[in-house]
Amino acid sequence: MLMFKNNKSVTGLALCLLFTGCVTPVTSPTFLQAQAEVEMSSPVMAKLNGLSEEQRAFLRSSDPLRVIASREMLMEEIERRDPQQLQKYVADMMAAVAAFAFQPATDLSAIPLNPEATGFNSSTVLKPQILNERSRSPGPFSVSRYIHQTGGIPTFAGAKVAITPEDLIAGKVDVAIAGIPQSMSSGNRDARNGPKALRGMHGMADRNVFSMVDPGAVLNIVDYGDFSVDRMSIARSVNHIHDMVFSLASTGAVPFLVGGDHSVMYPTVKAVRAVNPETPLTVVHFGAHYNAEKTRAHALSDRDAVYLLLTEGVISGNNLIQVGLRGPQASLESFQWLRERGVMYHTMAEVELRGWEVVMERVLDEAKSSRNPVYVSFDVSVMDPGELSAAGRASPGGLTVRELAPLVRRLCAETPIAGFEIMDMAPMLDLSYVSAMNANYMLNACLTGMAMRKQGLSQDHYLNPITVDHGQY
Amino acid sequence: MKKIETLNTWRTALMCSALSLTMLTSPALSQQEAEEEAETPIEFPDSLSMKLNDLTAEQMEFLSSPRSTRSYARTPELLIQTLEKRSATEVKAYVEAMMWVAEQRKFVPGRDSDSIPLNVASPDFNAWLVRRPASFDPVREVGPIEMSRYMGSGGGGIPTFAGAPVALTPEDLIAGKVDVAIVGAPLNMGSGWRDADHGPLIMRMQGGMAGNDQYTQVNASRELNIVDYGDIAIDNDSTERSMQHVRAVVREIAETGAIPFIIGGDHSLEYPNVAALVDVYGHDNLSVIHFDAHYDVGRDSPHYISHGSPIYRLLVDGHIKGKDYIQVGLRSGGPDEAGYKWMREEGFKYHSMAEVERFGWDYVLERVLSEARGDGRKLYISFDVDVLDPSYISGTGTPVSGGMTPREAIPIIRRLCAENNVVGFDMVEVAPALDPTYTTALHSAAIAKACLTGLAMRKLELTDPHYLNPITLDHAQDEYHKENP
Repeated sequence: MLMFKNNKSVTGLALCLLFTGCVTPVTSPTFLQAQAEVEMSSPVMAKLNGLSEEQRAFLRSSDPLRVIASREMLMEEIERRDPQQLQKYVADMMAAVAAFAFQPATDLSAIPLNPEATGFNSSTVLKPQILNERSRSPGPFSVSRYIHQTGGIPTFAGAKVAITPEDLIAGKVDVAIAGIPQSMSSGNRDARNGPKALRGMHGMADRNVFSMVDPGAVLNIVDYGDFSVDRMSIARSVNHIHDMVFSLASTGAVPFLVGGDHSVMYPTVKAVRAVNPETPLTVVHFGAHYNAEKTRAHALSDRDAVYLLLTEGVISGNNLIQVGLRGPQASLESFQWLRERGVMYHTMAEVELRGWEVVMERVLDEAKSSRNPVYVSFDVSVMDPGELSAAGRASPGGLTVRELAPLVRRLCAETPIAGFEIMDMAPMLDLSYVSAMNANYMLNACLTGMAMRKQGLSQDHYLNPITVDHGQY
Repeated sequence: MKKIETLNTWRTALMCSALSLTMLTSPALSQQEAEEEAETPIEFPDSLSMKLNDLTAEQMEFLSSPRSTRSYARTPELLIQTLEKRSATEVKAYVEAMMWVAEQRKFVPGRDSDSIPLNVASPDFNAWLVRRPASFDPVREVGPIEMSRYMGSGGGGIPTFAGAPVALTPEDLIAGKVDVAIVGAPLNMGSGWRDADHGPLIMRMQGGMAGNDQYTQVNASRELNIVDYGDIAIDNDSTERSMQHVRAVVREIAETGAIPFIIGGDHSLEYPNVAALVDVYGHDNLSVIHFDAHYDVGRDSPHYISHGSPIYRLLVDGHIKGKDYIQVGLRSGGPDEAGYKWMREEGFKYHSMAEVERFGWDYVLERVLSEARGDGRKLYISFDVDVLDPSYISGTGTPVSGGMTPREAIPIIRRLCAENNVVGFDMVEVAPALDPTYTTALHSAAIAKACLTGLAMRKLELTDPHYLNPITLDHAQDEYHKENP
């Protein structure tokens, strides 16, 4: 970034103020530097005088920053152009910005679908029981021939299978794990295979050495199959995902959802919220990316799911905790926006300053003091790519398994969990088993926490006395 | 010779000794015996006769045997050279040393144990194969279980072979009038790289077995009742211990009239698979065609069964005869000449890659098909994926260069399954860890699909030799095929 030279003229400062872009929030370094180090040569002033008022107004606004990275760079561009070139330059900038907007004459305002497709809704029509060739009593059922079997038909957590809400009710199911294979990540796309990868890997329901609680022995867990999505449209998938999650959660079972990219967070959180409308939901969102961008041409993407949840009032900002932010998506304005809404974000900058232990306690304190049920939305990008490379939107410098597992376990033990989702895996980016194994381990941490809670082990940071100490002295 | 499945009980041990007697009177079954008969003794030059004077008759007999001395001197000429370098005392010591080693190598009662004891006191001795009683799960009408909540092509999400519904008991197969039961057998004791226990998992996850076949326009998923029959329990600490149970489950499938498709697991599985079908269909009613880079007739191992010896085991135990066997794709280090001679004597119809190199694939294809047709018997296909070249199938435990291509394998399998009465099929040695891509699973699935297609074609009576759908053969926009026959 080119620095303005040290203060030489008042005119310069005045000019800077004229470009209202300089009057950015007080904490902006650009402002401070502009104040202290401004120099404008007279030729530049003359060039600006040659522009129309409309053009000067454009340069004064924040619009130029939509086509050029910073004010300083804009100054450089102005400085190196003669008046004729400058005219063209500003005119072109204005035309480009105008072209960003919707053009009624030439742009589709909606994506047309083919109503003549005979299977327009095929993928989401639920099969009426009467059309099944054989009847069965409701309740989860095993797909293993044997009482004890490793391998066989792969299910989440090696659990029994449930297909209908009646199965969940009859089985008094505590946790129903369902796949949502939407694959529209704004990064690498293979989230479609997230559910398959996690089913094919062991470890989701293992006994946990930290608490010595075996979630598979304490909780009634089922594999609830997958929910259909339209892999060519997030918008088209939203309603069905919402309905399926709502129907699942309405039975009293806690939904554990395996994505799928993070756009899916919008219908899942909305659905869980809708089950108990009077009870606010606290959301703990793990991820490198804040996903609260304003929506652009598409109604929903993985980059704006949080924006929609907040602006629609599904969750209030002061009930949103974010952990692990570090990606380039969030700008200064983004963090300001989050602050204004009361969002309790914890970036990796905070971790660097204060250390993970402090941040972890802060997150737990925030979740617990809200006194609300907690929904955990776990984007695998929160993990360092060294420990989970199969991430749709990987980002260096993330949290480790040993940092995340205790926090997830404690959240799920020390607060009532309304749901847990694990999002944005891209299995094809990991030729080994590591990503799938570590992803299952995160789910295991929450299942363990919930099992601990069911057994009354929800005090602060419970660890089993026999495993923390060999007891020999 | 003991049968594997009878190692556990006294009653059957008595049975087996009776059978052993029968074995001894039957035609020579071991390569060893054949070689002994054929061996010509080494003749030593007169220059050595002084040194050899001190040897006993037994020592002289040993020294004169090429087979006995081969381990120490590769050829008789090299043996003579070695002896000429040594003094008479040294020669005697040399022969004594060789004979000592020969003794050490053999089984010696009292010194060596002839079995590996199991811990019969363990309360979980059989935990690995006790079946889940029906009463453990909600009551359900007997028959295949549909896993999907949706109508259309949306799957349940839980991966199954060929996207098919699940069946767990023979009653399910009968009630569902099941045509094909695809069952996994994750046996992981192969002598090469090991990951075959993940064969069934990758085949379920990869998909590709189901649906319409381009070449014939036959859709096996529509024409046949196919189920995923789960996995067969395996003891991955012992091939021997796993064999009985595999045979029992394959047999129970075949007894219902369904065709077992066994997805392995290593090639030891051929033993219980074929034995099970012989149990159901009877001796002399079954031919077996074995696709493999290896001939799997390993003999003379301390272990009765491994993936290198299922065919030998089947012969020795009397389930099948050599003349009932067709081998396709051989090209590994073995068999050697003696092995081939033995196969010839036993009546095997083998087709190595040397034959393909000389005569071309199409020639060998037609020869194999006419052999399989034979007298119209029932046919079992045992398909080791390493018959394909490693560039297509890298995910396998013992790859060998110079193998078949998918464009050769798919048509031959499709035709075998369409043009014969196939009663069983296995696909073995898929080891996904060795293939970081999807390729191994993709090709393996295509070959399994080719057999399912063939079975469906048979149901539709499309059994003419090399049937292909006319509409896919020719766009019919001109008379090219007529003008260029």
